[in-house]
Amino acid sequence: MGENIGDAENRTPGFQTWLTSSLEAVDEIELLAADFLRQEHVQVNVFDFRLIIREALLNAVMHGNHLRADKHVDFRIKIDPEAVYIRIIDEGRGFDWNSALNGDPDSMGQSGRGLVIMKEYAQQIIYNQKGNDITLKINRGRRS
Amino acid sequence: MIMEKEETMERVILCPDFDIVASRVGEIRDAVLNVAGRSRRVVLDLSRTSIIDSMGIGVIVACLKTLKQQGGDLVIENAKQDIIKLFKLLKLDFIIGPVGKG
Repeated sequence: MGENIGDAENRTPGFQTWLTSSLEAVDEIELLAADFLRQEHVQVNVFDFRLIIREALLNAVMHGNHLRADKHVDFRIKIDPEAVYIRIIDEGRGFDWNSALNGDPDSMGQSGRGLVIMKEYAQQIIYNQKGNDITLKINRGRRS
Repeated sequence: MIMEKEETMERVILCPDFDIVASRVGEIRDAVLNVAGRSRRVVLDLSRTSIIDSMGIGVIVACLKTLKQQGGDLVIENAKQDIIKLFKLLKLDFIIGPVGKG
């Protein structure tokens, strides 16, 4: 299912795959991504890495694709000497990510925690204008 | 699987042997609500849980609200430091009980 998207010129390894819009697929991709980092001997904080991937994928499959079986999510990892970059693209309408990222969700509310978590645990978040394509930067070298 | 480790009138301890993530939240909700009327406090022992995502936290908050409405309570015990840090970030560390708070 996956394919290599490494940058031959810069010798940066990478990995690309896609998933169906289901919660079980989120679990599978999280494991696949962790395996890929192990194979490439990339050291990151495992808890942080797993959490960031989970939150970004949950946003994509639930809020972007609304768990629709006919919609898919594109998932890519790219590694450079400094960081791991996760890119996730869904088929949804996008959202006002700028307002959402600067909001302050109710701690006892039912939702709104995913973005707070990504903002705290990732070193950088880049959305496209529409809000259906996110890139997260996770610094290397923090083991757990 | 979710093990029931102890049950008294005062508290019942539930110990899931899996991560509390979106695909498993139904199991947590069902287990907590199933024991809710039997003891005043439900303790979630997270000694065998390595990660919780936002959906997992959402279901714990929802269960806590339900138990409070019924005069009960829910606390988390034996959570790993990464999970405690996450609850603190989300201003939910009041759910963490004294056991294993670190």
